[in-house]
Amino acid sequence: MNKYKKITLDGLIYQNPTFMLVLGTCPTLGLISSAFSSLGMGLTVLVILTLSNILISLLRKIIPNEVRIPCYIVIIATLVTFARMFLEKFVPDLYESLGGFLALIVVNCIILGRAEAFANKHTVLESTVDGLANGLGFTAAITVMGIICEFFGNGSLFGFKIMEFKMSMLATPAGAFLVYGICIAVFVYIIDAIERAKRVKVNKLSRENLLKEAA
Amino acid sequence: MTAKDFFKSTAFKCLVTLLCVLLVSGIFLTIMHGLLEVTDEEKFQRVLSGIYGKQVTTTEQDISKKNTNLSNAVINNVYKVEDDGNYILNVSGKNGYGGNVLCWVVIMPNSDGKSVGGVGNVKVPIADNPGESFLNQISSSVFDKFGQDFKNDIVYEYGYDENGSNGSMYVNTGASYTMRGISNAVNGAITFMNAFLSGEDIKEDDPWEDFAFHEFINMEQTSWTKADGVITYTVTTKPCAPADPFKLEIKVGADKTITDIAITKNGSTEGYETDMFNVKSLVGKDLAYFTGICGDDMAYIGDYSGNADISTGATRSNYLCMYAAAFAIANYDYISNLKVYTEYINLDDTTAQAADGVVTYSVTTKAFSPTVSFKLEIKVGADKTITDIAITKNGSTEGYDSDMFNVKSLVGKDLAYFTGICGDDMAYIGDYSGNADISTGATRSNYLCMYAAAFAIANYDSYLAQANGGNE
Repeated sequence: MNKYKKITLDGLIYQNPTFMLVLGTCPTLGLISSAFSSLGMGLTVLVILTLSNILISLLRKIIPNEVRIPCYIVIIATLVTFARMFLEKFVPDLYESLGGFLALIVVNCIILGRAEAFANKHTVLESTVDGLANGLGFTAAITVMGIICEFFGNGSLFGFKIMEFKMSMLATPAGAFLVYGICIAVFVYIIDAIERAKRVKVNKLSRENLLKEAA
Repeated sequence: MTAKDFFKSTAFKCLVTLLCVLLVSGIFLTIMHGLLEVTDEEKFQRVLSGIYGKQVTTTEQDISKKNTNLSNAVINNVYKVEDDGNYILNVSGKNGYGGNVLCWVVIMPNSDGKSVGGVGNVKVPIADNPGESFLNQISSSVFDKFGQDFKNDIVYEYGYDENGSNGSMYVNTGASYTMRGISNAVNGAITFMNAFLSGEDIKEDDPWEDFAFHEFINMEQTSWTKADGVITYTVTTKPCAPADPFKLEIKVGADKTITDIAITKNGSTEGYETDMFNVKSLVGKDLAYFTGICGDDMAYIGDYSGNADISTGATRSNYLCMYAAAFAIANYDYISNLKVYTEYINLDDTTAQAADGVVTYSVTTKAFSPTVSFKLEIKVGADKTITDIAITKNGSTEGYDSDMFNVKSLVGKDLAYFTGICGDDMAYIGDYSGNADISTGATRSNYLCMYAAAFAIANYDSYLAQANGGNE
């Protein structure tokens, strides 16, 4: 398999940071009561993750191993501070809705995790693809959950009223836990089913090849 | 390790790398801050466009001559919106989660322009309130409720609903402390604008306004007991920097002079205690002595060099002790007549008459949901026991009156009987299951009757003195 395709699929599906690795749980649980906030947080993380992967990959041969973590933290914190300034200036509504969770991106495990596990060992291009894939994986996961929570918890979607019926509990962090758990279960079940189907197919092919060779 | 070795070492490389990363980050953020800074004017315009959805013309009002530091909020700026005649206030509501909560509050004046007619939009920018970490939990629909709740120059205060009961919707937002700050800001804005529009000064409720000379007294930590015409105070003063608060035990006799005084906690600056006057020298002194030194208002004037009684080298400490003594004497009459156990008593609908050493009360209690108010006739004899008691209006919930104790069983009982059941503060504790005298199935009704009886006994001296024309 093409390595870029593998990196992309890993970030999006097989090692999805939210559903498979359960990283970045704090903003996930805090923000999924609103689809708009979820999407905004996802896109912000996507940009910061991609930029931090690029910078860390660029500097991976310069930064000594002993101080790599402090350097990563400084780079990520700088990007997050810049993102805060940018959003406050140009997208104030999103800045308001993200609140304190925006600053907390500094300690988001996905970003530091990808820096440590991937970007400091791979080329700039590979790290960029990894950042984009993981960012998209996180954005997709958090947005889907945001849509579910907002739809059932508030009867609206991206702030637009859809229906009067609502289960308010789903718009709270406690409801977010419930939705998060169900989404993980469904996601893992689907991935598992696909993997099983793939294995069955491979086994069947192997068996047929063996039979052909035996014949 | 030589200097050459150090410069070649990994430690030096690490140090330089970290410093370089920090330096580049710092320079980058400094430049970005310069480019992306949101000015106060820009923030204000955003608030205006968030409220009005268009550009509006505003004029800043001069509030420099007004009291802007209220008990519940600080008024920072007031703007008049020329397009609709409303006012928009920048207010810091006190007692939020992380301190003050900065809010923008739109106030709509009445048609005569002399008072507040309603509350419009309320905006609480997250960027200006970094200490309020749960602010984004509050939905915009909650802010809309302030306008709907405006009634009698107030929106619901934190923790209370329109009936004065606990359980305001403000609490159930997920950011209740922040909501307390916001509702304080809105109420502060209403109070300020009423004064601003009418051109009057702000009148704020002072819970201790009936007490004389309480400016330097910490009223929350001051208590007293009354016995045989002598009031014994435990007074805690406020500081008079650099002197810290003092704590004193002061006795004032019926002739309104100090009969005893002692310092129980000396707040003098270290080394200055020995320079203080002997506080026992105040025994026998009356109010005129203190006002003669400090003036009729007992204000601290700083320079007491002409008076050797106070200017002993520890003037501020001496002043605080004198102030406490003046407070004790000046409030003797007021405290003598002060009623106790009044929390559940409707004093406006309660009367007392004294004859031949017997005080006859007509007491109306307050409601204690679900029980409504009771009305009782109570007689207290000279030995401070109940000589007669009868319910004239039963406030028991329907069907529960038959579960009440027989109120006549209280005849002959003294205050100790009631405080023995309900505690010295006669507070309702809810669970009286261990006491068959009150827990008969209609506990709240029994409690209100007991409370009324305790009130009648505890205030016997006050009402008797009033009837005899004393302490007036």
